[in-house]
Amino acid sequence: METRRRRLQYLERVETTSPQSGDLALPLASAPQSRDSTGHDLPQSLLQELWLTARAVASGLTCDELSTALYSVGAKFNYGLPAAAHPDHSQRADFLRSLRLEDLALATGCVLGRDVAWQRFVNLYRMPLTHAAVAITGSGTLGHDLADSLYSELYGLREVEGQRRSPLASYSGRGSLLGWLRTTLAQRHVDHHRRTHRESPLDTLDAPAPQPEPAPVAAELTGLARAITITLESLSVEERYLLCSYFLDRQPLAQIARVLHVHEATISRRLKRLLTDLRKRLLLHLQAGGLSKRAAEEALGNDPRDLEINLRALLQSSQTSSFSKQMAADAAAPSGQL
Amino acid sequence: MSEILQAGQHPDADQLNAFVEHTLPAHEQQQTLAHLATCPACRQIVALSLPSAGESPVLHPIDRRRWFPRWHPAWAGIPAFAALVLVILFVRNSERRVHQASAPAQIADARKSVPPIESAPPEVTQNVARNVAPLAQHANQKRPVATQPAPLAEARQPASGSAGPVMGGILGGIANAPTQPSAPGRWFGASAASVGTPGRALAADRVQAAFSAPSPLPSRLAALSMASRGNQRIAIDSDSHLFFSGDEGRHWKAVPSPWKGRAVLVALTSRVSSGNEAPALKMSSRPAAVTGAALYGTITDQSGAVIPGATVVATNSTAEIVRSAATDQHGQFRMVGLVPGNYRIEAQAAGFETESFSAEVAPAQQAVADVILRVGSASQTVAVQAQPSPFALENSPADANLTAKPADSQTLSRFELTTDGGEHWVSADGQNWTRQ
Repeated sequence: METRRRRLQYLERVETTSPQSGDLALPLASAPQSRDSTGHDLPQSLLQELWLTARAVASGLTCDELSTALYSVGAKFNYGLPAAAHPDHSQRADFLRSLRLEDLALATGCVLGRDVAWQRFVNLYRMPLTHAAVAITGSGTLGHDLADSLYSELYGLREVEGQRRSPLASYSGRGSLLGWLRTTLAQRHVDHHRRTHRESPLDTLDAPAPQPEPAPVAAELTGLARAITITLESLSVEERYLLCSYFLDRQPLAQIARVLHVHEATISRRLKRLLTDLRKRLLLHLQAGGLSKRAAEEALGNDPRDLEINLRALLQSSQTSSFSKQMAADAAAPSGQL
Repeated sequence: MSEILQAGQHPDADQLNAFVEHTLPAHEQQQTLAHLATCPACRQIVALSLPSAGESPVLHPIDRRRWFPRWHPAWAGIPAFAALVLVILFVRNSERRVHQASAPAQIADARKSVPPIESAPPEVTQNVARNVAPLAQHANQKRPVATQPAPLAEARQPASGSAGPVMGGILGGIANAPTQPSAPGRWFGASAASVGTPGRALAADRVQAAFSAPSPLPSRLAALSMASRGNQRIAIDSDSHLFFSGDEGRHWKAVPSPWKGRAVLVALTSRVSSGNEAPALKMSSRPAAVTGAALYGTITDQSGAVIPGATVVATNSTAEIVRSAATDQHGQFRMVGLVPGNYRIEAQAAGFETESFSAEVAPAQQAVADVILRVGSASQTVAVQAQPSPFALENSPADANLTAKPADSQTLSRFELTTDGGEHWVSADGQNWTRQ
């Protein structure tokens, strides 16, 4: 009961009051959303196990502080289950054990402004952070600037509504802390690029150029364009990602394979199979549009530059809402549909 | 969600990182992938956030104590010690191989070279068998012999007259007749020592020693010593078993050993007798343990039986020195302390013809002269030219040089075997042995 009381006091302080000197509040997004509904009371033995695993003492965290952070992460992601599901005790324990507890404890300690945590963070991640920034930017100077700006941001120099906020508060422990830092650096770099190159945007990052004046085209080309549109819209998520990454972003097969956690040869086979399947689908759609098989094959031999379609926009056109809306819709959907 | 890049529209860094590290649940993985398929900016972020190949992961300090201490300078001694052990083993192994290759020849040569008469009294008549013991002891001491392989080989080369790389024991260096080289392509080296009249050299009489070639003996052991006469060959393997071959070594059979102890040496004793049989002189260099030269040998009749009581007279006409000796019960005689010079030696016994020959004795050298007397009364003159010393010993720089003028003679030879106990056994056919 004492633990629960302390946790409640902590959450109240995070949500309602300004942080004390040197302390940083957890962001509202990471606070438990529905404390009572999730049944967050964790067994003391599990907490003790997690606290020891996280080596929270090295980050200046008490067991209560760590359990609060764990509870926040678990509540935010519903312990790894779809939003409508109700995790039981074992599912919660499994989710918490799967977290990078040591990294999470360190990030929480830094968010709370613990000197020992910051000292440990600097010792462990200062150099990797700089190296990652240099690798991302491809320049030593830009890399150091990027790493320094993120480092100061992590320390909480940025204030929002009068409160110091550290991006480390968004770290959930589901991935490694170094990976989170690297992704954050990449995010900052892309954001910086978008801001500084707004005058000459890349067509890959902005809306497609305005359509030219429509010219009279043959009915054959019109049918081909319609078949391509229908075929691309019917692609699955992974197929679309493969085509975009390989043909639009021109990413190498090895890089795509690393993202999808498969072998490079697997990506190569999938791409080859996808292109063959795309051709078959196009033929089927063309034949469904009234062309004979031979005419459909001849139609596929047309110069794609004669087509008045924007393949890039067609491939990247999202048929769904934004990511946050997806998450919200996912959370609102009944569990049986997931 | 990201607060900086299109807030609310894109997954945040935590989500993307979890996606890259494949730690998202399946439904979130699909959602993120669906967003990536349509969002080039997030794809670019994901591509940039992939760790580079040379990027080192973050290693958290571990408090566990290492099972081994950190680097210590003394560790450098471990490979050094190992290398030293390897070098020692290699050197020892090399020495062993050298011993195995050279020991038989050295043992054979040692018998001829080690003086058994250091403590011999000046009396001419002396039991030679008593002095063979140091010889055998010396033969068994392989290590001191093997410490001087190079001089052995150098000294053996001119004595043999053949190009054999590894020579066996050398029969007495009597070489009035030309020495025939050993047959090429044979698996053993050979050195020929010939005794006899000109044109009738004992080409087939060879004493051979085995070397590192594959052993042809039935025991498959290395041949310790070998001697051949015509098609007949005898050999001792490294286990001291005696084998006989009557077809130039193609087929071997074991010979029962009547002697006690281990056979260490086989040799071929050549004899030259006047008339039908020329007196045989077996020359060998001896270390100059005594001042002056020495001459010893055995007096036998035509059947090989020793003649006790025979008289041997050595006359130096220049210095007017006459030395005489009588053979003992073994038919052996010995003359020590001879003044170097040209000697005329006469051997005579009751009922036998007197054998005489001239010899030039060099300083600090000893000559072995086995004389075969014929029944009857006749006179024989034999000229013996000693070969250079097969051993280049430290204190015997000069070579024995006996010159004999052979008359009409016939070559006879017999096999001789020496045991580690100093016993000498002889055999005419290589299979039936009698103690000498």
